[in-house]
Amino acid sequence: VVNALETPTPVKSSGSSKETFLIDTDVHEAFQSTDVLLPYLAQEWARYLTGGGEYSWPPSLLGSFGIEYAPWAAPMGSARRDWFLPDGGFGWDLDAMRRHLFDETGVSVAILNGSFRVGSLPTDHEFGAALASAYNDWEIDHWLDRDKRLRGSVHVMPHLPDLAAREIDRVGQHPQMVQVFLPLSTDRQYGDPAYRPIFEAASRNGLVVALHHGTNTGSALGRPRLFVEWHTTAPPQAAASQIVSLVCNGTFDRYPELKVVCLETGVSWVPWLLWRLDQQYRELRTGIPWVKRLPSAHIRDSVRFGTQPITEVTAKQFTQLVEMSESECLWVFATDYPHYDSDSTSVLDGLSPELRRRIRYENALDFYPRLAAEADVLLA
Amino acid sequence: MRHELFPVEELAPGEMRSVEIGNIRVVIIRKPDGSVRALRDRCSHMGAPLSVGWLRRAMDGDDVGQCAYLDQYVVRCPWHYYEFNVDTGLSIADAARDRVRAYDVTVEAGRIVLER
Repeated sequence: VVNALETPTPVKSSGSSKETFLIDTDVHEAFQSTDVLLPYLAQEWARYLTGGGEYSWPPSLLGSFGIEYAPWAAPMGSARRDWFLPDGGFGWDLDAMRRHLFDETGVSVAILNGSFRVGSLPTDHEFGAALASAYNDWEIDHWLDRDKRLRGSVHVMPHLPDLAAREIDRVGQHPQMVQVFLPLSTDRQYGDPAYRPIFEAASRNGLVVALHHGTNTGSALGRPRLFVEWHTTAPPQAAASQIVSLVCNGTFDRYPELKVVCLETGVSWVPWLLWRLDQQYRELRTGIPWVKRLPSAHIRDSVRFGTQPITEVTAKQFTQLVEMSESECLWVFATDYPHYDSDSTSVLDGLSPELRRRIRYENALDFYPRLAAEADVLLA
Repeated sequence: MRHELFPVEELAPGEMRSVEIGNIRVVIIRKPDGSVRALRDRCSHMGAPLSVGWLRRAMDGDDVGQCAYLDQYVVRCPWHYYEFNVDTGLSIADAARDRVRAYDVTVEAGRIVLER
């Protein structure tokens, strides 16, 4: 299934140039049914999907494997109204995605993050790993091979790090794969040495590790009663915790080539994290002597943040955030297509031309090793 | 300017003492090997007197959970536990931002002599 090491076809998105080039780091492709995975699953695992009365693993749980909130309990969240498809679904139609993203939004390169958060499956991890592999093969066949403007994520089961690493090696060299997708929270925090095989495999394959929430992601206090509470608190709180974990457990010292991007976790808390963690390091370094650099230095080198939802701040406030963070490189543009809270490029209006260009594509080209390797071709 | 201070034997190895030189305070540090160092006795963070902190071996580690003392010594601030290399005055965590002045200090005829 995987056509590894093939040179990607040069991207020629309509009108792409250094003025208009746009990399969307958070796009959610979907499927209509887990049936699409059947051709890629061994019969021993496929039986759980086909059921037939003997097995009851619910194919209706297409998405998040978390506890759903009532108002937005659709399996994969909810979408912008004009991006709904005729069948009431969203995200599963490549032609519609081409129209919405490439033609109407002006995206030049779109990085797929999936809607099938199989890495969040809380039980039956070996089954989850098989589903992840099947999904990766389907992603390649159904999306990446059909449009060279798409880039992909390797989905893995983080509970089984060695198996995850083998999966990264198996499909990670596909020329359009640019990252490994991990759920924003899992059993243990990602600085735990148990997860090293995943980060090592991502690094040796030149892949970024993307962290993205699902409804299994908890806030610092657990699970709030209402969706609005959860959507406000869980993503940034979990992202901050994971970055702290990776820094303090020496993951970035051990894997200096490792790159991590936090998607859909917001922007306004980033300066706080840089300040707070540096302050703690100055005072309590002796507790983590294996960390050899200021946490903010690690984060500026090794972590990026998707801009969506950037609308929590104005352009003027965002510029101040950049100044407070002492780096124009920390943010990469993301729409979160096709979800209801996606950002359009108009959110970048009001930024300086230099900062706007950095966020539209320069930061992503600098950060994603696979994109950096083809930057000249992309921008030609 | 040369400042002749006190007999070195008055400061046991591993101890620190604050002295006033002109209008500033300096912490005289006797390392466990008997050698003497001198730093400005005022933390660059919030101004705490380093002389009432701790003289400790610097902590290092190559991997998570592994800690090992170095032969290098630090003085640890009594307030926020900032660490300063007793040889250079540089902060261990953030040498680019935090440092205290280190003074040349010698022992001559059994007395500690500081150049400022």
